[in-house]
Amino acid sequence: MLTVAGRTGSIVLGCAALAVASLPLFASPYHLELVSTAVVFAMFALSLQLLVGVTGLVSLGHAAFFGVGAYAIHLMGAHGPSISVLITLPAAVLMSGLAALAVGALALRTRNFFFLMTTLAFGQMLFFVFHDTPLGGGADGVFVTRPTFSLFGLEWVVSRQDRPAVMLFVNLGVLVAMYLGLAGLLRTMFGRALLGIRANEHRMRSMGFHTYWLQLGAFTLAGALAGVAGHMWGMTQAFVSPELLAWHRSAEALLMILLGGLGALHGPILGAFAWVGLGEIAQLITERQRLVEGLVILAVVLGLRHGLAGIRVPSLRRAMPQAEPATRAEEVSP
Amino acid sequence: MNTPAMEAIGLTRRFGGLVAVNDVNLALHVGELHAVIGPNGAGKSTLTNLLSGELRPSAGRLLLHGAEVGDWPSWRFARAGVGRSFQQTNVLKPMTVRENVRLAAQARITPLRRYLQVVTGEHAPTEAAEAALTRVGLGALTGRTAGTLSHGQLRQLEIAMALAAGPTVLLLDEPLAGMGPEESERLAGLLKELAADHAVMLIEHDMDVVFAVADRVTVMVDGQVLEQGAPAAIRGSAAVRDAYLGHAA
Repeated sequence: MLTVAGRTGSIVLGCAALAVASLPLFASPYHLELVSTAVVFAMFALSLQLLVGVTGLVSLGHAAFFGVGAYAIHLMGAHGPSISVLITLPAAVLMSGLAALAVGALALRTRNFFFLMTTLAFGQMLFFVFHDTPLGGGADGVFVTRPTFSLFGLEWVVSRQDRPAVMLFVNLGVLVAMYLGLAGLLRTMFGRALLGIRANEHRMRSMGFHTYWLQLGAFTLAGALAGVAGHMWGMTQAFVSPELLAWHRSAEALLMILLGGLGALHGPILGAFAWVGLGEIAQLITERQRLVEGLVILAVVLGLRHGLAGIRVPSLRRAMPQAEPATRAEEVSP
Repeated sequence: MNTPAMEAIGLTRRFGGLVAVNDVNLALHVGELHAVIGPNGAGKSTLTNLLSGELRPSAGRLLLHGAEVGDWPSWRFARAGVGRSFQQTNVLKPMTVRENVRLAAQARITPLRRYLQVVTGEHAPTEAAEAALTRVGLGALTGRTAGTLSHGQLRQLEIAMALAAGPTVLLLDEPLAGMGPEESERLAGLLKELAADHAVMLIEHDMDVVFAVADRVTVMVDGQVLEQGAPAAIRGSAAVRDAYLGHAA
């Protein structure tokens, strides 16, 4: 069952977040942007974890909602003056959430393999909407005006040099909020019911749960959160393209979850960082980047049954013999 | 007599050419423990599945408190107060015992916005869950993961899950199978107790238990009702002895 990091794990995660936040003190703009990318991917994979790890639904169409969230910036005001992020972000949530509601309402009539294929099909349909119709502004993508940090006419202008650091802070803040929000959701009766569906959907139905509506709620929420991630991507890059909606992005997010750990809420975050880092290192040492990535993923899947999130520091365990393993990765029950 | 809590009239279920349940009439009353017995393959579990909405009847009527419910999906049965246990243990294995029962109790909570409360909130059914677990004798194991329980303990958990939602009709499909003699006896006592304010249908192979607790017995053979009546009458019936009890004796 999906677990949320216990006390030790939360401290480690908090330290990691602080370490990322301190990067602007010494890292180059290139590396700040690279880490920003990892943070946005982490949001995206985390939103997918709500489906895969929590509810037990494996989707291959999740990138569509990521892309819709990114395109929301373009759709809100492609060529006009830039708009406040306080308008574009809710718009992205609304658009991707509605798209997910529509797709989920139909796709959730199927299960397992058929669900995978149905989500893939709907994802590709949305891909072609932005690829081939005037709505998307071109098959090669389109530059967007960055949303601004403004409220009631007051604007915080960010200089070009400061931008990588500021975007990293903002993205990190959104990721932390999303993680804490989902951790909180898992403590509600809604969250418990979703975990129950992953454990045994048939039994949940015979206990009296209308599982379809619960799953549709999860699917819509996951889509809206993917839209947040997509919006932050567009805001960071100032460029959106149909490729953001493509199915291999969905597969990549699934790989991040697999890499980080299916059984832990923070697994996708570790997986996203590992994935981006791995790509960067592989690029340095060889031209056969994909081959290295594939081999590492294979090794992780074979060697770490619970992904990166399953790694425990042995000395810590010995230092606290009274603590049972359960306290390290507590079940979310109080 | 007052309206039965649940009533089947000419209830029939076919699987292709096989008629698993054939023209069964059955009434479950609150305050009565109704045992259904019969050899393997007699259609007892199919009957349970029909009465709980897991299967749709091919023909016949099904009434819950006098209202037609034959076309309801299973989740509506549970919400309307029909609790059941499964013959093949069917629990949420990765979750704790407490969580299994709490979810069973939670299923009847409306409106849905209460779902946004944390599980320790005031509307969460923690107490109902604890009470059901204590009642079946699992009070000491609430923190255990359901997948690690013994077979007998899983049977107890099944009953607790059926109980936790506060049902009026309880359909128990071989709840005592695989339990130790002590637990079995304790739970037989519990079933008797439950029958006071529930309509209980009990499928059971242990004839000693059946004749000790049942107020009414239905004997099924090949999907059909062979005999229906008070335990004493059933025990005396030559047809029943011939078709079923004879094999055991």
